[in-house]
Amino acid sequence: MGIVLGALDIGTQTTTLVTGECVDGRLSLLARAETPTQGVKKGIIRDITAVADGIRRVREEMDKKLRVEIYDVVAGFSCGDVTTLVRPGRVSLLPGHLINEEDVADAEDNARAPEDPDAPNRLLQRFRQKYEVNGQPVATPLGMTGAELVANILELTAPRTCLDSLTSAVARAGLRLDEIVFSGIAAAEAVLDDRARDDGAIVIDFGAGTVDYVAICNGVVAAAGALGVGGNHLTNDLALAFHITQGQAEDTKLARGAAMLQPDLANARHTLRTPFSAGDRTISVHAIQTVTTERVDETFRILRDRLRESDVLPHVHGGIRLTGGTAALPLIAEQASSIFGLPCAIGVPGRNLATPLADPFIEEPYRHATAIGLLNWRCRTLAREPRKPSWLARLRAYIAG
Amino acid sequence: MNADDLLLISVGGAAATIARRVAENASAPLRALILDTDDATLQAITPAVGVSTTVFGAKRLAGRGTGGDRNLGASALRDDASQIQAQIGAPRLAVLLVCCGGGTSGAAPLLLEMLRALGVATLVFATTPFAFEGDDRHRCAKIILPTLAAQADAITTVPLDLLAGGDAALPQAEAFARVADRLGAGLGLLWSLIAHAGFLPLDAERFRRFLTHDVAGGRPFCFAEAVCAGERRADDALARLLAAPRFRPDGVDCLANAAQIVVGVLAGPDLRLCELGVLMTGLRAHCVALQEAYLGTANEASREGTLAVVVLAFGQALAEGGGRVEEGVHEARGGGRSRKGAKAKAAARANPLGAARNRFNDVEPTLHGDQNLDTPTYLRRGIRLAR
Repeated sequence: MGIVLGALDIGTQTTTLVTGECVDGRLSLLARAETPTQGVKKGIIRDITAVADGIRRVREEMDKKLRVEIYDVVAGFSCGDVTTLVRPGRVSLLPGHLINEEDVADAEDNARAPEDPDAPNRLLQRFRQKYEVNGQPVATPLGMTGAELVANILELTAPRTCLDSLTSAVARAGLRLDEIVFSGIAAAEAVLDDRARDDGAIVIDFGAGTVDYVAICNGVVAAAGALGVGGNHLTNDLALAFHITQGQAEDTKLARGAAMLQPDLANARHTLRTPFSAGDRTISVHAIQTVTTERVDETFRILRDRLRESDVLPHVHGGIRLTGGTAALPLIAEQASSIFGLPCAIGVPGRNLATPLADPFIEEPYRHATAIGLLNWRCRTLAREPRKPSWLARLRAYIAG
Repeated sequence: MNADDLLLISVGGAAATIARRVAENASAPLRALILDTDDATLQAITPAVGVSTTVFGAKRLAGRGTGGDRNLGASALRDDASQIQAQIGAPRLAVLLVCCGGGTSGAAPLLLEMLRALGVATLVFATTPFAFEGDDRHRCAKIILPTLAAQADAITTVPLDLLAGGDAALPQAEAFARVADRLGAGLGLLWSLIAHAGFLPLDAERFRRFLTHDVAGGRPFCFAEAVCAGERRADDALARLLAAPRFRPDGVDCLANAAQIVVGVLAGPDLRLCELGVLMTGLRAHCVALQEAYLGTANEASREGTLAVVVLAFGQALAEGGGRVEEGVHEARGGGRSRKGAKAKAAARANPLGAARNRFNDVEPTLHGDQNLDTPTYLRRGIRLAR
């Protein structure tokens, strides 16, 4: 009997609750419930009540599907203001002293910035990057000797108010929040296997409100971040370009949008649905694709420049995985590949799953990458945690002296 | 410019009279669609080339009007939506004229919705009833105006009292005629400018781009015109524009507060560059919050010796910032650009799309370097789209 876990992905477009069973550190997906999100823009919660209502709806749907009530969840978070910083933590060592786990823990603690309750940002997640002994990078410093141990820690921070709003919304919906995980990390958790992590890979989660990116090289998080641009910007661009409503623009994007111009459709025209029967309006497909192509091109170029600044790109040999709703845009993988100069594919969740993806996750699996990644993250975290002995075991141990 | 790119639409009986005046004043070919529910009103309209009249809602109202019921006006338009849509065709810019207060004006918001669905940029001229008119008409105008503002790309609301000049001794019939003449003259001038290919064209496409992509989208605007002759015609026109009561509807100088102005100059072949300089320098000095000025000129041989200027003032950026320039205060400031003007400029840079349909106008902009990523990429990259 495993532990039933819940993961909540509150996206700008959709709120998704997924459940899975964690058995010996492996995950079996159980069910998925989703509802359109209200009150979120660019990943930022603007109406806690509306978001809490959405969470309640997916929870009720899940209760009906699973007949098991979920109380604790892990939630994903992203917004354009997520920032990253690499902090070095140092420990001086005595001559001849063999580095042990305590020294490593001290170095990691020294990398931690003091918590300032008045600061606008607060810590979201920390990741070990690399260790250095006497200035030399090492995979693991345990058992080595030297004068100084340095632990480099990548810290992800996010606006305090945004994280507090997420916590409040989840609490209002009657759930307990176990952990908040950066959505990009969750997506990478779902789609990158161990080999891709060692080879170096980039995961781009192109959602409706934000684009999250994570680069993993040699098994560690080398760079991460988010940009407050998403699929909704493509829709908005179309609405402004053709002077149509956001609803019409969304339909147009889904029907004719593309990340690269399709020459065979150069002369095609898209018929716009209007609320009035006579004289449907048509728009040039070339013009539609020009609008969407320019936006995708710009977004990928910004991400490429950021990753170049972090000096990550030369270490990525495993390519790019695209996830999120906008990954459905035709030719988006080709566009990413041409801009980054790396092979690119649509990311399919598969890491650490006990069974292959099945209904209801098999359709458009890239859309569920964050939610499945959150479950996976929680499952692997639980497996790493030392298990507390049960009260019966403790009683037996007490009797046995 | 294609003549079909520009369309004048009037809704209701009073607007029909004004539309007819516009047709008389416009020196360029005019395509106008005059809509009303009352058959008798439309029969009184003198036919003109390019002007078509349509009675809508005949099945429901039998051509007898709405009796002041705005809901009936809307229902009547819905009944004949297909027919009206076919008559509208595919213009790029539509100027909608509506005198709020009557029942037929209730159809105007629905008509705007229809135009928007067709991808037509809309510039709305709405009048509010005379102060002496009945409460029902004022109530109707109060209800309709916000819905018009929500659907239009730009809207100006002109009180009829202001158009009539506030002359209490004026006979009632003459007051209506004066209103129609003044609005008809101003609109006719604007029409001539948009429709004419000039040295500095202000065509429908440029106007459309300004309305749908620039800061003015969805904002209110004020307008006034001046026609002068003589050696000092540019100075005279400038003085008349700066003192125009239509720029001061509530004692607030909307021109001084404007974030954008569109200036149209219609003259004969004798138009001199120094005259354009006088006008633009004077207007720039007066508009302390100005971020963008657009100038269009058109020449007509028949206008030799005269100078006609029409100014549309959009935005009123300082008013939103809480620093309105009240009447008379402007001179004390010395006419220079204020710090508040600079602040408004910075705010507009942060979100230069305005309030119209940009879904990101109420959130923190996504900035990257000096670029606002909420503005469409194709627009920032200067790419022209095929129609």
